[in-house]
Amino acid sequence: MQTAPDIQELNQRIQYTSQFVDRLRNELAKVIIGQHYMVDRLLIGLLSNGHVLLEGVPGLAKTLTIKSLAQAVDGKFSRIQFTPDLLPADVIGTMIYNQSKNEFVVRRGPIFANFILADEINRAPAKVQSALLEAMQEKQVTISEHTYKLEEPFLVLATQNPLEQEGTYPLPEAQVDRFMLKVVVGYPDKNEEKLIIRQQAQGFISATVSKVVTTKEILESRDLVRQVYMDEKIEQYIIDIVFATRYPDQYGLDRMKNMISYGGSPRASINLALASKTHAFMNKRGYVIPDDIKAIAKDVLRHRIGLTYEAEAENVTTEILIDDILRTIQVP
Amino acid sequence: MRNMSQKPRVRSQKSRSDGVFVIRHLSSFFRSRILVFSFLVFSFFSSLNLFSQKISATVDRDKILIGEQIELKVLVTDIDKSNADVSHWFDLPDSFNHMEIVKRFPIDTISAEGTTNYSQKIILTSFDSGVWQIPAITVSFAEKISINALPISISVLPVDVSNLKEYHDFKEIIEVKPETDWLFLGSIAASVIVLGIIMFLVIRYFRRRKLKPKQVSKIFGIKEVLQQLDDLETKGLIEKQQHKLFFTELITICKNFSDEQLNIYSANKTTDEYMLMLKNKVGNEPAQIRYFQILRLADAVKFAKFIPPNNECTDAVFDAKTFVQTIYHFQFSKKD
Repeated sequence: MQTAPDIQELNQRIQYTSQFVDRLRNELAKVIIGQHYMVDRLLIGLLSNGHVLLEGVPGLAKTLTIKSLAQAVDGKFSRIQFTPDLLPADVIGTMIYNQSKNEFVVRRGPIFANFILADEINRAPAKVQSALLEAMQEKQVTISEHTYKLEEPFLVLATQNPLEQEGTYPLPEAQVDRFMLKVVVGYPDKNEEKLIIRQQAQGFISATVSKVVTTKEILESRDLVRQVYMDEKIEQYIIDIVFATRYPDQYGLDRMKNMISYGGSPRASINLALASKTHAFMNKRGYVIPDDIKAIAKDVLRHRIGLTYEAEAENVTTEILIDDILRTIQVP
Repeated sequence: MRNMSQKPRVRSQKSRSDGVFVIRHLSSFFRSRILVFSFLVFSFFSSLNLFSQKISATVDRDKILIGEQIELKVLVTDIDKSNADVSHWFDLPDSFNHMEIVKRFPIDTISAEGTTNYSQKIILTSFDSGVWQIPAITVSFAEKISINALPISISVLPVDVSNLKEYHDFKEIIEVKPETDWLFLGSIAASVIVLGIIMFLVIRYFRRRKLKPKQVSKIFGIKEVLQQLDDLETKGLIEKQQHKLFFTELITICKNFSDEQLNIYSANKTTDEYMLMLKNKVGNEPAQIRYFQILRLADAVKFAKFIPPNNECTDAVFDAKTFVQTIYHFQFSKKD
């Protein structure tokens, strides 16, 4: 159990260690205008060792952000464009015959990288999705008879296009649950868009991203994130929020009872706790406060709540339900 | 000699040409006769073939009572469709000769061994007594030949109603005396009374609620709040090392007061959200900024086991008092 001096010491260590977060933010801001929300969520995923599902219309700099993040962290980046004819071997790798050596050798797939951008993940059939998601969960890949550990940090950032639903294979609930966060990427505001126009249309040479943090620092920070102190009241607050998604009537949210087909899994509680710890770390705090929970709750829960037909008919989204829950549950 | 010898030659030539003419004439005569004969033979056999079809019209009974139904069945058999198919089927009108057609069944076709049979059933009735005739039914083939069925006589007999019982006459109107359903009336009256009582109670409740002075101002009046803060200080929670409880109570007192005075609800708000709400309501008062620092300090105490020095705790109470006074004066000045 952590004591007050432990937390103070941790607080100081975090204030010192988390400085690289600002460096990372500033470096990414050189090439990405706006999208602070998305950048912060990607950093939360990176520091919590959780994968991120990005949803947004094309052209919102999703790929650029991930690519730049890989450059800033000095990690290996690979992009897999998911198509209906993609095979699991195209993702994880396969055995190929080496004629000169007269033997089969392993050809590693694009998954052997630190940052994987799985673009339009819902365009590939289920077998490819499950091959990727299995690798995400196990952090290892088996090709033929050999199992290969994936290099840390290993972060999968998948994108989904919400506009086109023709010819897509939506991720099953169980697989979506493996993503720590589902981030809905919004449009930039007017000023940001003005800057984007200046940068792109007027021929400004875009800045290159430099390496500002090592993978070692990331791995050390992950250890620190796990040490961030979470008070029992905060744990109770998390449990109350997740339980309210499962049994809304027990929290005075009777109107929500017919709108939720299934609530957040225990993985939701774990990820909400972990993501809020990372949020606290990024805000240079060694302890979690309710603000951290509220800040991250939507991204952790939005893909973990199943809506009923009734909710869909009334245009009720998971975001609306989460807002209602956060408004109802008393903050400690 | 030459002339004499020449004459008979001419004569003989003439007689020869006459003979040829007769032979030619006879051959053309016989040829035309043969053609006519063969045409007649062909026509005869053709007509034999055409007239192989047969028609029959039968009824299931020829005597009926008025309104009873009979079934007329028309059957045309041995039709060679390849040579002469039916070009016109008979057409009886819906009403003819005191008879009415009730129902016409579709024409049935039966093909077997190169011949075809057509049949149709028709249900007839009559509402007039007498002897009535179904006319000869005619069917045409290949627009040329027609065959007829024999007309059928139907006897329609009147019904003897003399033995039937007479209908009862309409009964006299009996006057019905209205019965009073006391149970029904009683239940309505009871419901009205109950509803009236409920409405009276509801109206009285809302009137009293309006008239009742605000409880809030009594509990969370400035003097009471300041008293609560004094009491908290004298509880000795700091000395007992119960910093968490001390700061929780301190913030609760201040939040309750600000909620009531500023008409806000802070129970579901985080520190940041609460501070933003206060900023929007009151603005950036210096006392408020110090209060924000207490909120941050309280978060650290509540969620990070932080133990502030005793003087900071005392200062916190002082700053909390200043905050509640600021809020009170802000609201007071607004009312003026």
